[in-house]
Amino acid sequence: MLVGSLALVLVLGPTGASLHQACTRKDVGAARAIARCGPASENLSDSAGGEYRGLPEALAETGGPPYDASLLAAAEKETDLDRKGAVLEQAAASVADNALAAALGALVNQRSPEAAELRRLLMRRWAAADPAAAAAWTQRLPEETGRDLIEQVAIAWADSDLDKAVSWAEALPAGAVAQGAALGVAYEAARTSPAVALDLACGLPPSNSRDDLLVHAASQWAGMDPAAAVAWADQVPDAELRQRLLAAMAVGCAKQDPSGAAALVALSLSAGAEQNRAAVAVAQRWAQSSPQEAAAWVQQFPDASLRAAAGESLRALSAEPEALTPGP
Amino acid sequence: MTDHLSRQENHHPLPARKAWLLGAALALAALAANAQTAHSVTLAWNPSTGIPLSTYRLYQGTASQVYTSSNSVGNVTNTTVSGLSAGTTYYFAVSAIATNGLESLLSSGVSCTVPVTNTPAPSNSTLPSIVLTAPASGASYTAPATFTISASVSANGHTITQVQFYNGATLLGQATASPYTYACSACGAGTYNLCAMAVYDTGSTVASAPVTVTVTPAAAASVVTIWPSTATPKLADDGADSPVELGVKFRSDAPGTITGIRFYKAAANTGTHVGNLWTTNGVNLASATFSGETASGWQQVNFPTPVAIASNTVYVASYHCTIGHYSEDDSYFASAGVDNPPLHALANGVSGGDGVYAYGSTSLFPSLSYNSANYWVDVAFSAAAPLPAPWQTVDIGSVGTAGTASISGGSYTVAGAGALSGTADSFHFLYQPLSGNGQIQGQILSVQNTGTNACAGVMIRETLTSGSRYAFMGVSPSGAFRSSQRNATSGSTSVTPGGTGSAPNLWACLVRSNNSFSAYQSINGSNWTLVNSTNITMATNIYVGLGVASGVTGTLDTSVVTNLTVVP
Repeated sequence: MLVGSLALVLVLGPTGASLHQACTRKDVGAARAIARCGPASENLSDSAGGEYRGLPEALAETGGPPYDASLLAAAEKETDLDRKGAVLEQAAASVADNALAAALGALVNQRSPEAAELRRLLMRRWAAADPAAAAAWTQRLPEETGRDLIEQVAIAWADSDLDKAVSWAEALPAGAVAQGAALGVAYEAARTSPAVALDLACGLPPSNSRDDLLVHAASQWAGMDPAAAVAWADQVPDAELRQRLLAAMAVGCAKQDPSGAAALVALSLSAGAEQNRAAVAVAQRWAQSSPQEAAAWVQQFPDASLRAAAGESLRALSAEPEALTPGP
Repeated sequence: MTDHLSRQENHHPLPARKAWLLGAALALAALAANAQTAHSVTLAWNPSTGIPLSTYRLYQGTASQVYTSSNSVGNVTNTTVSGLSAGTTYYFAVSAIATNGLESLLSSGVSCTVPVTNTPAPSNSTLPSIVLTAPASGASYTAPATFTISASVSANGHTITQVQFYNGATLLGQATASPYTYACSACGAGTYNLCAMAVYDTGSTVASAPVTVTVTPAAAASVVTIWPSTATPKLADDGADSPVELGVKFRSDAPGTITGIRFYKAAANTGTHVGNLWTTNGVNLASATFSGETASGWQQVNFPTPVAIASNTVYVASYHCTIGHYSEDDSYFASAGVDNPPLHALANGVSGGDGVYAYGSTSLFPSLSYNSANYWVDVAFSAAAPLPAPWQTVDIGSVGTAGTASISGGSYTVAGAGALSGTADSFHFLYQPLSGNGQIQGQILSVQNTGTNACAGVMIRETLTSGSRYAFMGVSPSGAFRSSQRNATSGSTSVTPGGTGSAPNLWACLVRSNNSFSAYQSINGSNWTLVNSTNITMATNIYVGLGVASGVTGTLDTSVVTNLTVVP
């Protein structure tokens, strides 16, 4: 995976050049098969209004929605957000496991924010239990609704089976839905498998969302394998993005290797706000293991205000003798 | 042995990045004078690492940062300098010389004043000792600074008659009894080399190791307007009209505060005038009635509380007049706006029409425009100081109105719209990175009352996305403590209510220990009560900071936190 990521980032450009062509793709055949497990070719969208026309069987049989409509109505009237959330949880719990698809079908055309929230809760349950079926159902929806719910599928699937989730996300037809799925899977992957997250991120078109994901995942990777992470980031051609990545990496590895992180900040980052923030953050972490060395490094900061800010941070840390133990 | 330099060495400001890099790589430590007798001083420094060294070079002088001699002392980490003159203040710094000949930047300097020994102490007794306990070495203050110098003295059987406090060779003051302190007040910008000297028995003295503190200049708070006070309309008086609100759309490149509203007044434009600041969707952010107007020309009213505005966000400034006679230059904004960075009055079409107006007997949002007319309405803007590193600020989710954050004098002011609820949050986040275990605690001085769903407090958050996992400990405007969390990405929010308190005695704390998150409340910052403890699986490198949400999209809630400490 690291090799793949490295190959990907080589083409990360500053102005939105497509990354897909240069991406090192895995065998996506299996993923495409998963994506086809539902009736994806069935057109359920109203060409005029984009509404879902399919009437779930459960709804037709019972004559009423397979969820407690009174709870949804109560949630829609509730102004206290804590109570509103609790009522929606109750409404979601009122749906039996075997009625999740029907309930979602009954809710899919409801426009209230509370109905949308209930859809997310139900989709999350379904996706946690049967992500492939939930994914197939979601892909039949109009794009706006589908994009909202695909994220729930992506997250739940990534949490239960990351490899299958990645394959599924990569096999989705290009577009906003696929991008939402990739983001959802990648952020979950970043926690334990940041290289997988970076691989997915590199398949996304340039955007702030993509760059934020790259920075987040790169930070995790630096905490696990700083040398590989830095070597990877060094090859990112977009200078501004590279600065963000290296700054995040320096902070991300500073607790384990503060002097290495300090060298990274000093040697690899250009002067400016990004370097300043990283420098102080590294000094903070260094001070937790060696206050004297951190203070000595801070004294070498050329900018007086930065030196002062960093010094203040270190003093605040040293003046916190009960760190991590505020309780009685 | 000693090289005499032909030039004065002034190493501040340092020659920017290249030299710093070498010094950073060498990781040279600051000097510390740790032993001092009447005619010699012993200096020690932390060893440089990472690059092979041939020697250290010691620099010496009798004025701060002006080193008149230097000599190589070998690859050692301490040395003793002898032959010093009593009563003279000496300044030292050290550099590292790599085997390839490159020399690092100088370390920070230290100084010491060789005491004048009037009467030698008995040679067979233990001398008194003195150490400066405050301020901390390297402390930084903003001018005009106030700080207290404190010294701790061990008499060791001698009689301490007084303790003198020095800045370099300048006597600041003395204390004749314990606790030995001296209060420095209204200190100007500069570097202070502080030292305390104990006078004992019949006039013998012993000096402390010096401490260096820095007082930085206060940032000047300059007010910026779109037009200078010398600007005048072509048509100062457009004649009588019905009561009307007249305004201008503007934005700022930088965050800051709108302190007031200005307008150009024709002599006949009498009556009461009310200045207003609005969001582009018509939310009134502030209103104030003009007073003490002059007969004509530019008038200004200041809001009771300056209004924080976000960068690159369009707002509307307006004033209400009752009888017309306002100024109006048609087609003024037709093809261009007015730029006085960071302020920009927008050209017509950039964000709808500009200028704007609305007829009404009282203040109302001016949403109409006609002929790109400039009605000569302006703002008084004060740019916010940049956030000190490593803080950053961001709106999370769909907030409707951009939030702001500022840090000044230990107060953290955060304005945010949106809500912490459901499967996706919207709020304003003032944050910095958190690596692994850590903690944040602070005193919540105030939470603006924008409704029951408003909250402000400390937060640990996995990502900057709206559905991120997080832990939050804060308070509502009523003073009710609340802990909230999202255990699964884009999952539902759960809330644990805490006790109640009243501002400003509201303290909140969050502690991360691996995937365990503990939320505490306090009404005094000393006695803490656990409100909630939960497990949330998060990545290692995440974020910690302050979160503020008004409970309503498009409405800002401004809250203030102080005594904030972060262990990142």
